[in-house]
Amino acid sequence: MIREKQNPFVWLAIRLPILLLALTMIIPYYYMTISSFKTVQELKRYPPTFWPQAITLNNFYDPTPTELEHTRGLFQYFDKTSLRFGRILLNSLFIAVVNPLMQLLLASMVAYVLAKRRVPGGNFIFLFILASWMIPWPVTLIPNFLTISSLKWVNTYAGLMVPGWVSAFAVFFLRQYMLSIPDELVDAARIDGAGELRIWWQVVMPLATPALAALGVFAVLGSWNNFVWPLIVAQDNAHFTVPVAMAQLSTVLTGATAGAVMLGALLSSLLPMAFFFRFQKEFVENIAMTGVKG
Amino acid sequence: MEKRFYLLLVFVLVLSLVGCQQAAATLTAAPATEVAAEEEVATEAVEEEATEVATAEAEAVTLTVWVTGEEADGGQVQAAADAYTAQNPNVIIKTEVVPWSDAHTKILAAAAAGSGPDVITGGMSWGLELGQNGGMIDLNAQYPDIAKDIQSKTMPNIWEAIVPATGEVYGVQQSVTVNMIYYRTDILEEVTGSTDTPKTWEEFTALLDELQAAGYDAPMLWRWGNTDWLGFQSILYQAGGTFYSPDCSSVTVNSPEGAQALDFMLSLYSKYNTPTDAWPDQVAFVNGDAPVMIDGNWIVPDFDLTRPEIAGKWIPAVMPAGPSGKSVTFLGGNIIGIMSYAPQASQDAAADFIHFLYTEEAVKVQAEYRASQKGIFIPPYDEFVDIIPIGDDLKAAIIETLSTAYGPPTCPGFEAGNPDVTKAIQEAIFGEADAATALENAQAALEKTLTQ
Amino acid sequence: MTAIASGFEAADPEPRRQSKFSKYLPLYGMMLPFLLLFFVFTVWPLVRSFQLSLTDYTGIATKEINFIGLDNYSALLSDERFQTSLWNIGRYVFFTVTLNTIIGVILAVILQAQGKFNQIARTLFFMPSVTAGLATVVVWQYIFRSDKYGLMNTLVTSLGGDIIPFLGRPTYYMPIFVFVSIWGGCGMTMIFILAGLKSINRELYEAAAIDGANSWRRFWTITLPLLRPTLLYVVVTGIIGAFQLFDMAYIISGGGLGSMGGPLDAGLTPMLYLYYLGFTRFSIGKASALAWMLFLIIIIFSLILMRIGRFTDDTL
Repeated sequence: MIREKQNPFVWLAIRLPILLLALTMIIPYYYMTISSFKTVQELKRYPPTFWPQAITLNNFYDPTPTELEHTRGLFQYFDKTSLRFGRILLNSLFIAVVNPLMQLLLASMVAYVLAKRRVPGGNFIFLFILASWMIPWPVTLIPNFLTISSLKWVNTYAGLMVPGWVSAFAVFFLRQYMLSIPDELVDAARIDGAGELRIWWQVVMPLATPALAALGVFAVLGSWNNFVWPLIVAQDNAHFTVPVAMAQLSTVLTGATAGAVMLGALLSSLLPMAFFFRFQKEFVENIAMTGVKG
Repeated sequence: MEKRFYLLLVFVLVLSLVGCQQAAATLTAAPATEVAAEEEVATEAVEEEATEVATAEAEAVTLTVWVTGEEADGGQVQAAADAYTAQNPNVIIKTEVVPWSDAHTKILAAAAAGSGPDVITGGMSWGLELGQNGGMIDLNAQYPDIAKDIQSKTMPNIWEAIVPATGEVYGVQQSVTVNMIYYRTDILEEVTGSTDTPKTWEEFTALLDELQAAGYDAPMLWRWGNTDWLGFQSILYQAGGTFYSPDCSSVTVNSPEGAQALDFMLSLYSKYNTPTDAWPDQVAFVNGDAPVMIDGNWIVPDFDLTRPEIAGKWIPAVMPAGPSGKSVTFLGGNIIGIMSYAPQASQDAAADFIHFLYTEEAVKVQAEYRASQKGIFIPPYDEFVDIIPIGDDLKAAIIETLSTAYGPPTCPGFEAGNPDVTKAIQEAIFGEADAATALENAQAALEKTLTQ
Repeated sequence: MTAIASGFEAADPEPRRQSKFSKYLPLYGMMLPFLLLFFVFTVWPLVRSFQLSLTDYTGIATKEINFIGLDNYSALLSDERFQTSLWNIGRYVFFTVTLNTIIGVILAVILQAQGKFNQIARTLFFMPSVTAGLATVVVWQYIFRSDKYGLMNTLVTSLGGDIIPFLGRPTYYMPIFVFVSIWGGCGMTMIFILAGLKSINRELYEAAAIDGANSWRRFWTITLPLLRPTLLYVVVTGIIGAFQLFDMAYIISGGGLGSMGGPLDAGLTPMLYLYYLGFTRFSIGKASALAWMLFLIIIIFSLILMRIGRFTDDTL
């Protein structure tokens, strides 16, 4: 597949469509970015302008929201909570940090036991967890909500987060990866008198970092984008997450302008994007090393 | 190291155990709670009269009110709540805005959880839906005096739309919206030489023909009710038809009037190219591509502010009258009611607050707040409309519209059946069925849910 | 899918027995937190949801619950709206998964070599997979407006075409869903395929090249067969995910404002219908039955695919 020498025309013939296709991938980002900085008048212009004629920050915060051709900015909605949209961003951020950590912590302990230690019933447990991977979330949605409400966890962070701490996929993924860690290392540590927790934390976990990192990226993105669960659990602005807030903003009757909606979309894309660019190398490389490849 | 982790483990364990236990407890306790709840209701009914006044005054009560709609709707109720708290310092009222798209779900989730707001506002049919499932209290049974007084301060056609024939009052009207039709007078003048708006279907289609001849290929924009049962209802009533017979005993949509109404509705799409999306953007009206628009009254006051380029170039009008000679439009808005899981003291305070909403003072503060937000508050009572701060012309138009507006039918099964009515109408619009079949399907769908 | 398959086999067949049970205690202890939460939030809900699917539970705590057997299931089977949602999701799953996989493979093969251009292109293709959530659906909704003011229609009219009534006609709903899903998913598929490609031994290609096989032939005889486990993984997870489509349908098909599933239910998915039944129609029993039927469908599809995957594996 490695082509040593190539006709420049062939090179271009392959690259050009790819380049065009790649550029269409970013059209939505371009659109949300320019719309975020357009004025109310410009947003309703036809044909749309492809670059804001007058860049405005009013979609963030409009000092005179009741004037002609003005309306509230993104940070002027959700005024039932002190930091408004900022609070919502922080909520999402908090959940996107804590949930993946808990997921990895809990799943890695199970994965360690299942991969490196033989316990009676271990295979059964693994099969059980593996099978549950195919349970679509709709099946658990309603009962989980009933459970959360009987715990009085509706509209709390616990209710928003705790059900997201269980990931069958993480157990499966980590177990597959840990199987490739040489038994000798584990046995050596045991002979040195290390307890199970110590072996797990000091021997297996460091070696499983690639798998943990790859999973972590999935988990962070999953938490960040999760929509339905926070939609029904969060009852007030203070517990909203970004997708819930976005759904609220984008309904026709809230009167939010395209500017505020697009800015919200931009902000909620920026964080995962920044996260991805930071960990891109690790993520892409680690997927290759983990059990997923078969 | 090791110790810390065991500690953490124990912590997580205890946490999960508590979770498990409680989940198990609720499971086993569920039937018991039901019985207890029923008993509670029974005893409450007896004790209620005695406690009603006493509890409301005795201790401080905090009410949570979920307001369905946009932020201004919440602010409006909060304004009334603040006025109420000024008179009743022991009752503190907090409002929370829930958008239309999520409100139904969230309220149902709260009802399922048995915790959440004490009071909700929401769609006109929600009170009936939730109430009949035990989620909301019947004001008529628990607070008959309040219910009666509110009835006397509600226009009869509105009362009819929220209270079923059986008489339960799960919610009362908190605010009203009506569907209106808007015309670009500048374009009308240019094309027809006058700014007169059509009064009948014939005049209406004649105008659309003229506009089309002048190059306006799709002269009309339909926002509220486009391609669904809600839009069809106005036309059906204009034609003199109804969905049900007055006593709800039979479905009457498949009638000559229904056929006439559907034909008229279909021509708006087939002949006049009305866009079929749900809530198309107003921009086509503003830019003049579509000089006719159907939308809720809520756009009236802020349209001049947010769309200054067409200020003074458009007017709201009543819907054209159909063969029945009546100009009928759809009436919507929010009802307000009390959740059944709310503690008794909260229910008492809530009932008193809802009663307070039907005073001139409450209407005034709400209307003033709304005006400050570029909005308009329409109370469910023509005498109250008199005191809201808007121009006399608009006032007259609103009062006229209010008296000819109808809410959704309160017959059993309409909520369950109306998606199929919408589907039948859409099958005709998108050419999947002819009008006659569509009407038959709509009739069958409503008949099926009526008897269920 | 060897990875998943190996999970089904006993990790180790050796019969050695541990004499002391206490030896296992810390191990079970380590598994306990996960297993408890797993039980509370996965196993128990599964049972509970089945239990609910046999009742007429409305979701309101004070109302009596009646056992009605399989009525919910039979009602669903004859429910036209449910059938529509299955027809919609069936087409969606087929086109999304197929196109996603094909495009992912093409992208991965073209962009697998090192180099600045490839690296940037890979990043661009992968970006939507990172950010594709509800927020970008909202943007796509603006882009696919059916009037002339939408971005896509601006493009169409500037190229001389007529306005396409995208979200105003039933016809365009599923194609738009598929398009947006591929936009948001092909990058992730590409990454998985790239990982699969990396694990293929270079020497195989060199040997084939010496034998005179051209790159087209090498792709079919070496790359594709060796990619089978990765492809199977991509397809199975793709199917499981695609069947559960909700966010996009919820936003684009009307979000509960009057219309439930877009014009003629063209944008109705089983999940959106479940949401409608459970959270707006007070039919939690029926919604639970729908969830279980969806579950069974997904399991059957996955098992068939795994079976096919392994079957062809053996015959090679």
